[in-house]
Amino acid sequence: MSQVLLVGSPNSGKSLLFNKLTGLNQKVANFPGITVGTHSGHSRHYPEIELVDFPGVYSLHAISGEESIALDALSHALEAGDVACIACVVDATRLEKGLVFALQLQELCVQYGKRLIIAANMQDVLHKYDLEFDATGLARAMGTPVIPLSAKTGEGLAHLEKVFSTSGQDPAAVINSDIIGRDGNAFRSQAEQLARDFGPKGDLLLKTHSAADAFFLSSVTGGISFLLIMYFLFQSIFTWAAPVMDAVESSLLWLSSLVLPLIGNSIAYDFINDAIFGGLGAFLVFVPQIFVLTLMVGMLEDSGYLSRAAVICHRPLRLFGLTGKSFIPMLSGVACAIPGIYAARTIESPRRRWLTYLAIPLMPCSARLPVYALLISAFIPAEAVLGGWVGLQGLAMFGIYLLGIFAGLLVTALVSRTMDDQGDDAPFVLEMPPYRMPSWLPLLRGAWERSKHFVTKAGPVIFWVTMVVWFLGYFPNQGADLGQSWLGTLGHIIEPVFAPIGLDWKYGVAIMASFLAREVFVGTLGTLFGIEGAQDNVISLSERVQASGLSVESGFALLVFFAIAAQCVSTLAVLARETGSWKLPVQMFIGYSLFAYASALGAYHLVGMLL
Amino acid sequence: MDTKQKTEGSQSSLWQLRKGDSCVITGFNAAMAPRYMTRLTELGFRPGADIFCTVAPRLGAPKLYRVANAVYSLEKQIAELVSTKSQFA
Repeated sequence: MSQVLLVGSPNSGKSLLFNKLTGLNQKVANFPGITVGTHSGHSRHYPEIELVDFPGVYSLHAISGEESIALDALSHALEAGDVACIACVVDATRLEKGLVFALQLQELCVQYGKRLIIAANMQDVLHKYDLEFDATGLARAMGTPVIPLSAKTGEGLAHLEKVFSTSGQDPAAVINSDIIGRDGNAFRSQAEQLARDFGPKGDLLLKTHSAADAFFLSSVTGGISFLLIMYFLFQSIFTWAAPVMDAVESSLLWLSSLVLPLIGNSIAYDFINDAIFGGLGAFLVFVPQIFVLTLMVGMLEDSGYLSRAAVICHRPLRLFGLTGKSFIPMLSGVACAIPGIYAARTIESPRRRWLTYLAIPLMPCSARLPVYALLISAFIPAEAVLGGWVGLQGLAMFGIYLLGIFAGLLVTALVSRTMDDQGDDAPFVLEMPPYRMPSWLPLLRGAWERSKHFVTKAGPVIFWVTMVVWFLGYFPNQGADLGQSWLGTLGHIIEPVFAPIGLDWKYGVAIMASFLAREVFVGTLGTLFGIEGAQDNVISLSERVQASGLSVESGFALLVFFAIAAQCVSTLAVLARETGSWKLPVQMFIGYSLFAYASALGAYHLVGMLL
Repeated sequence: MDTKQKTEGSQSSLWQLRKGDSCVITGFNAAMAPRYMTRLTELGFRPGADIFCTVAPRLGAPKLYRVANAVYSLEKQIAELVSTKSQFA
């Protein structure tokens, strides 16, 4: 077994190449810092070769946490001794950028007696613009194999794998060590010279991107297009997902009408009806929205727009103690807080990274989506205004998302002003990747994987919670009176806590259960209403919420509570691992729970006054 | 034949570059931390390099600079510490 270390600068297409070579589905995107930590897999055609994908780094001189982690891992891998070669992936359309790191790696390879291979990616882009790249000349000048390839189309991959398979047979001494520079300036000079001699000529690509930048970063059109793109993102969650959600709901009803008559035992019948179709089923209905959300965020990541959005957001975010680089982790947090927390490694400034950690759990993550969707569909009519262009439910979703973002910014603004230690405030320097048409197949696969992961991760938790909730709610009177059940007795004990925001004990129980994971709220509520109204199994959960007597002001208070409360054990655990302590997660959990309750109470009274 | 003549202009900082302007880097301000100096050098912002400002949004937003075949966004805090000599076509 031999290892090939896949390294390269950000945006070189390294992760896509790794996926193509291994058949795995590592997340790829068109902005710096998408690979966090190393990932390994075996070559599909040469299983004896293990490929290790490293996070993108610009040089051997780390300035961010993400780069330090990558370089430490690289050192450990080289010292372990199983490495056959290092494959440095460079973007052939911007050769000098990747060659700076490649030249530094060459020096490292000489030290460790390893072989370097240059994988010159993006040949498809060169072909598209009729540009040429002299791989043979570059290989001769550097004294190392240079393989032109396209991770997107698969061109050159077979050749690369063949070179990998024979790399252990060649001594490292083939490297032309005369070419190695001594400092950053020498490496850069050498890289520019090599790019001039062997790289594609002309600046057609840059001119194309500059025209798009002039629009997306203009003071007027840049801001408007940013708001429109963000609005479109949230509007699509409702409009695109609605037909699939209806189909899932109809399928579950059809399945229940098929299965339930076959069950003779009344307790088993009630369990399947209330806990499985009512609890788990209610949760499954919202999975299409998670699919659409992930697809839309992935499309933005792939297009190259996110780096521009980071530039647009930089100045406004500075007012709240953050940086433009906080935008990408925060947007990742819209899908799930966990990748958002990992993505914050790209923020060089420890202080701003810490503040970004505070903001991420307040981003409206996909686990909140089922709760929002349930409450919005229960209280906001499915009508459109402005000639059908603006759906009221989508608008409400946009509003509640903005509330979470605003709460995050408010917290960071307040905390940053009370921090004594201003620390080393790393400046904002960000590469603008080229604009690209998103690759739909990997995006659809990614959205499918994310939805599947969501179901398989949250599904068992929801199943067990609904089991417990159903058991406690069904006995000792076999569902005859939910209020007199064991759960009813427990619920009445905690009811005074939620009574000030107009919530009865059933909502209190669902909130308490959702501190494990937010999405449990929907399943728990589905089970409780299932026990209470078992004979009405054709009624959707949103209709049951409407019929439960929940007031509009309590509905808004619930939305506000879920927008702020830190109800996710996994997020807190990842945060503890990233910060090396449980101090911040515990403080965050207590602080955000109190903040959520106080805000919900405020919203309850405010809406009550307005109505 | 290229008839454009490059003329030396006044000393200024990279931040003062407006959209469509180009300059040559002459050095770094001593206030810049060495690790950022190294990183900027590796990215191509090194003495003698030609830099072209592709986008300069208003309200103090970071500007976009083209160096060789790549584009980077730099905020005022660091761009002010890069000394330049302007070029006029």
